[in-house]
Amino acid sequence: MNEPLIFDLSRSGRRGYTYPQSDVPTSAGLNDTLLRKSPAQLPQFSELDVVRHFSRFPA
Amino acid sequence: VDSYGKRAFVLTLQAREQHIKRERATSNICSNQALAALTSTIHVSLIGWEGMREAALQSQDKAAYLLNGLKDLIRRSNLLGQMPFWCEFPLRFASVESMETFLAALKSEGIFGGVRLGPLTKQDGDERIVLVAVTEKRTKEELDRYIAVARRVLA
Repeated sequence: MNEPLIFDLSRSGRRGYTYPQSDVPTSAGLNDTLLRKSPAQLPQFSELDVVRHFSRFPA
Repeated sequence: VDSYGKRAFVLTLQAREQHIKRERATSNICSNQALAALTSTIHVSLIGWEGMREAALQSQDKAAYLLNGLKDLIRRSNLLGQMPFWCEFPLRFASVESMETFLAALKSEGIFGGVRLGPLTKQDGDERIVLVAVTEKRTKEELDRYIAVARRVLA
């Protein structure tokens, strides 16, 4: 099996799913000291990329 | 035949559920932690870090909206201390009975009101605290229903 790692397939700016617009007001939120400074290292994919990647994986 | 006299089939000479095995499969995933890990990996791949951020912010906003709707009720019944929170907050009740009445009223409306903290922490005083969590999946309409039921029970 020569399937690349999911991180190697990642393309910046891609989204596989977008949440519906929030229907409640924006809250004050957490204090800055409680928030992370840089984005989490998570892959970015279109829906089709994800389906293909995980389908090629015999599970 | 089974104990009811109905015709039944068994899996013979199969150590595990090999009939669900896909071609080329190297292992089976049944209802175990590996399946949970796989589904969350797929979920995170779909939403990416921007989606993760969006889900976190929406959860936070919706939890704040619910707490805000309960605020006057809570203060009146002398319930809650104000600490920073993200999407979960505690509701402290005057008694275990009032807490159970509250949860039962929500349940009868098809709402899961929250988790009883007592059995989890076994701390004194926690037996009349409910931990309420709100995620991005809840809608304003659902939160308004929660508030309406709470208003009816606690007012």
